Amino acid sequence: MEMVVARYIYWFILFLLILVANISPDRRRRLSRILRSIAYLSIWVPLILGVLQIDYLQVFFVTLCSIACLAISLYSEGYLRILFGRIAPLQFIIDSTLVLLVMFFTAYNLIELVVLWISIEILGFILILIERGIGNWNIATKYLILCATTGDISLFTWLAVVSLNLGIEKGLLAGFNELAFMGISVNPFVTFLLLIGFTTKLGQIPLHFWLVDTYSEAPSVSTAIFSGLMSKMAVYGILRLYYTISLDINIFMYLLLIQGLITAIYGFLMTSAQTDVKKLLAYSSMGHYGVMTMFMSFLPVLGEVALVIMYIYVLYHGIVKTQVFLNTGSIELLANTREIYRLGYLSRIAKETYFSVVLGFLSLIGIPPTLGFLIKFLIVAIAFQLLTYGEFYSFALLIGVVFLSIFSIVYAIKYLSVYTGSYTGEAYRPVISLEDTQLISERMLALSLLIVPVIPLIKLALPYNLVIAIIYVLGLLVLIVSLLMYRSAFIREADVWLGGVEA
Amino acid sequence: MSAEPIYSIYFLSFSYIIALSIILTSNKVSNELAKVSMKIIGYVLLLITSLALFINNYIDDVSLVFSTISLFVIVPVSIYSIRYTSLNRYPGSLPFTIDLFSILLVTAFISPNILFFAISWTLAELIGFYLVSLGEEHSIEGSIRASKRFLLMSVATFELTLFTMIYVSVFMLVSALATHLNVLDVLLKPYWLLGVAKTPLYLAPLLLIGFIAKAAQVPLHFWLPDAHSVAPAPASALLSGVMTAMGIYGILRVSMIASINYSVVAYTIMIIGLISIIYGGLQSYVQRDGKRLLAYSTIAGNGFSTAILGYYLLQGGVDVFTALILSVAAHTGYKATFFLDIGLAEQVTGLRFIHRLRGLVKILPYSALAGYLALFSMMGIPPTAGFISKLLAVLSAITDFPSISCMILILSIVSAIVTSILIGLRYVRIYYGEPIVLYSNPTTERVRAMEYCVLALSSSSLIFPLLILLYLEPMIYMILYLVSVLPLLVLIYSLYIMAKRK
Repeated sequence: MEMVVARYIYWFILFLLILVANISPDRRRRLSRILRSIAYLSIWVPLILGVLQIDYLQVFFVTLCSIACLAISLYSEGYLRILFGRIAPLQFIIDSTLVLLVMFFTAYNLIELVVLWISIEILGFILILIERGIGNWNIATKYLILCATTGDISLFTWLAVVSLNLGIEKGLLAGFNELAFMGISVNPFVTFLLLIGFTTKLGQIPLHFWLVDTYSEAPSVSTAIFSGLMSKMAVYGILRLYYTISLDINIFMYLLLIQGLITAIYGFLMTSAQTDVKKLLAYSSMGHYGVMTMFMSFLPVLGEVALVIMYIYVLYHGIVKTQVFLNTGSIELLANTREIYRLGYLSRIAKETYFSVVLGFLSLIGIPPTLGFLIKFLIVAIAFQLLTYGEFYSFALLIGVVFLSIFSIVYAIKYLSVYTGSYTGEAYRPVISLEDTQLISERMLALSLLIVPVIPLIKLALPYNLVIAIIYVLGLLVLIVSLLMYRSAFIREADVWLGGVEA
Repeated sequence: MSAEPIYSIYFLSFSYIIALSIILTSNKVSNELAKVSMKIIGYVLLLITSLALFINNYIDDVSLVFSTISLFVIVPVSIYSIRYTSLNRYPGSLPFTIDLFSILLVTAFISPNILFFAISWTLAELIGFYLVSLGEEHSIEGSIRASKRFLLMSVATFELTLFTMIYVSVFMLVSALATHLNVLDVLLKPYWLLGVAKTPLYLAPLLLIGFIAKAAQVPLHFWLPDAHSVAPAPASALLSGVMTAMGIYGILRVSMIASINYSVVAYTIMIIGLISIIYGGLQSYVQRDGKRLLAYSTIAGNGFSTAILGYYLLQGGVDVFTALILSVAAHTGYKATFFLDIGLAEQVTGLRFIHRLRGLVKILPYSALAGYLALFSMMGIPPTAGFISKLLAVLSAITDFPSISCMILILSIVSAIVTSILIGLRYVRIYYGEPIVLYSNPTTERVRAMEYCVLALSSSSLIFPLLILLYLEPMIYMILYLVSVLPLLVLIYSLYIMAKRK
């Protein structure tokens, strides 16, 4: 009971901080910034102190939240100010969505989880409309009908199953740790109903078409929330479901495996056909969700190891997609277009974002010191371990990883050509300089990609721990040396010749 | 019986009559502020009276809940009607008529026996007919035969059912007990003292037809869209919100006094409800006239309550009963809000076609906020009354999962959610975009007071869920309420901002 009260007080304080920060964010910029930072950094306090009943399943999601929420909140401040001249009403919507996400990942029982899920989904509807208003109405409606409705089917089935077994009061109020020991089991059809909402939220194949539209048409800040945080709600949902209810194993494994495999292949293949930076990243997200889904299907076979790798995957994908989607916002602000073939030479006018976006894409490709390398290494290792359980599993996962690796290189080069390629189109307007908070936010995310691998290395019992640690240290050294060389050996031109925009 | 209760009933009747006279005389006062405060005092006195009646066991909890819900809706509607009348050049007697109508509705709900119920309800029907025909004379678009249909369908079937009820309660009871009871004595007995009279199945259609027509369920629904769309906005709000709830209330009462083979009746009611949801929802989705859209969605909304009612007759249980009460309350709250909202829109822009109406947030900000809240209740977003009724319905449906009744109920819930989302997303567009103002701008200033009424009415979506405290263990719902009320307010605020910007 005290824990319940403590959690509610904590949530209330979070909300209050956000509310105060958004009373006059345009006149008192610094105060607003400090209050928002306090709110998002305060998530570390219960994490480190171990209060608020945050269990092992939630820790990594909450960690992701604290990093991504701070970055998104800081970035959106600059983004909105450049677009609208003031941030006053819209920043509050974004901040309250972020706080609700924090609340979601710290929810203790089923009723809190369901209510917060529904609230966040509907706020997602608002996030799509935030920049263009009614211009995005059709996309928002498509999102609401396809994604939110199927999500509700699963959630309500979950509620129904639990309350059917334990009674309404006990089932909905009992904590997840208690539910895990109740031994609730369900039949194949209910398993299917329970999973379908979460896989739809992850954009899995038969119901995937809302995803690309939503991701590419929503404003970049919203897309960062969608891809970085909201999709992780679905992962969290599936994990939570798996550990509280004994599902029908065959349906669980084969539904997730097949959906994931098809989605991974389709998503990564489609990345190479895109000319819009956001669509490209949207398909890449879809492919990654496919691999994630596939990986979750191995939970019954691999057990703890799959869970550990899922944690790192969530952390990695959350941070990197938040960063690159925020970066598409920068591209749009700088050059007024998202077409890859109309862009070029952005590295000359936005050096700071260039540095961080290179780190981000190194991570997406999977180059050693970054988090991306860690996760790719682990997946490949696990794929070979899976051979002992069944060749099909191993084969499917390997196909997924191959598509991931090859196409991530392709689309990374394509995306980076926005910064390094030559200029081909007409100039639209004079260049705008990005705000400091945007640069700080992007750099923070890029650096966290380098630093965060330390956490799983210390905290979790990874397979091949020592090998990874050695590669990490070596990679870090190489990166630092190459940065130093870049600084000293790079030849700077006196006149900057711009692509895409006029000086 | 001791002497005290008799004194208390005299005292309560006295306070009831005082409340009535305060409300009715308020319309003769010229000062608007005095008028409004007299109305509020009168209705609060009426509420206190009904509470006192409940505490002294003169009425049961069903009467109390229904009368409280109606009073919550009636007060803002009554205040709204004052300016509505003068701005739309309706006859000066309209607010008086609306008050009379409201009082009769409340009286029908709080009357503990069949006689008072029959009298007040029949009078209410006649005044309803007057209100609809008044609307016909003023209507810009819409039917000109609505009032006659209303009289024929709704009133005639209701009378049929009422007399069957009286027949069942009197003759069946008399024959069953083999006593020589006075007829009037039976009619004055409270419902719960009547006992359950064995009723042959062939009387069931007669017992139900009036209430099915009242709730505008599918075979007997056709009078409703015309009547509710031509009536003046406050009258539509009462007709649609409060009067159709009568159908549910009536069937509940019938189930208290007549014992029929309930499985047949219950399945029939559930299927009627399901068909009404689908038919009403789809018809509503294709309407262009905002009031007709709302009228058809009334059929769908009542269909949902009817489906739960059928399930309640079959299964019983306090969960299902609470779901039923909340679904009626939710529908009453949001539908009355919508009718007042579209009435204001018509007032300001001169039209109510939802494909033309745009940008209402910029003209009528408070009423639009209220509209959002009502919309959330209709679509079932936590913690509104609509959500909690759906949640309880789902939870009670799964208790006997594979049965047919459970399947029908789940199908009704799903179709109710889908159709209400479709209707809601179509309706909500009137708040976005650039406004059309055909009349001069000063009108928008004059309707500000009416907007506050709509806002007050829409708060019912957040207050009615608390009715659950009467019936169920509060802990879980309090958590649900607390966790979701903040996001809901954020949501409304952000929708409001989105609409207000370009």
